[in-house]
Amino acid sequence: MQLARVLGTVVATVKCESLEGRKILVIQPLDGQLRESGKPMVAVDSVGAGKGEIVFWCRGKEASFPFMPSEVPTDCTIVGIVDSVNMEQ
Amino acid sequence: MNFGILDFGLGGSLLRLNLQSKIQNPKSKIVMILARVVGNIVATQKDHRYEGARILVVRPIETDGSQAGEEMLALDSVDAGVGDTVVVVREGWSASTASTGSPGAAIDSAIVGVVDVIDFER
Repeated sequence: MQLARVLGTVVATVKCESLEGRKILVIQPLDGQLRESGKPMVAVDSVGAGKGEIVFWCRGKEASFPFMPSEVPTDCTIVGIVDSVNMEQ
Repeated sequence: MNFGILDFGLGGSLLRLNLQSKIQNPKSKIVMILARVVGNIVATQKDHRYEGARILVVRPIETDGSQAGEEMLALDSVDAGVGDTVVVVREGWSASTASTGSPGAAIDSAIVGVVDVIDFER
């Protein structure tokens, strides 16, 4: 899993049937100090995240598990909204 | 005919490039890594399988302790704390089973061991 900031939403009218009703967001991956790391990417939301929030996301096959038994074709899903990050000094 | 040769040439070089990149970047296949715990996060709104679990921020390290990648999150299954050197598994089935007791959760990395000492010779 990795931290990310939600940059915005993606609207897609024509899409895979199992993606219908799912929120698709653009996220910017972050490192532990909340600095940007890597390029923005598209993630499916499973927790009701919104623009500007710090979230964490899961990659790979496991990304589709929050939607079980529906099989959603995703390899990047937002699985939590971060309240706070506590780092050692 | 020319196109045929071109296609073949291009295909061959792509294949070579691909093989080369796999050899030059062996880390892409590594699923157990060393890391140092540097913090934790608090999240109220999260997937229900994460409830009761500790989500730690870990920094991948080399065997000499230098940083080896961007910080990532991992679920704790061994009561690791900030400052500990740990073993992180980056594969879903193992991570999910280790940290929640059963597979099938949306978890892609978990801490599965606290490192006491690394005895290592190059």
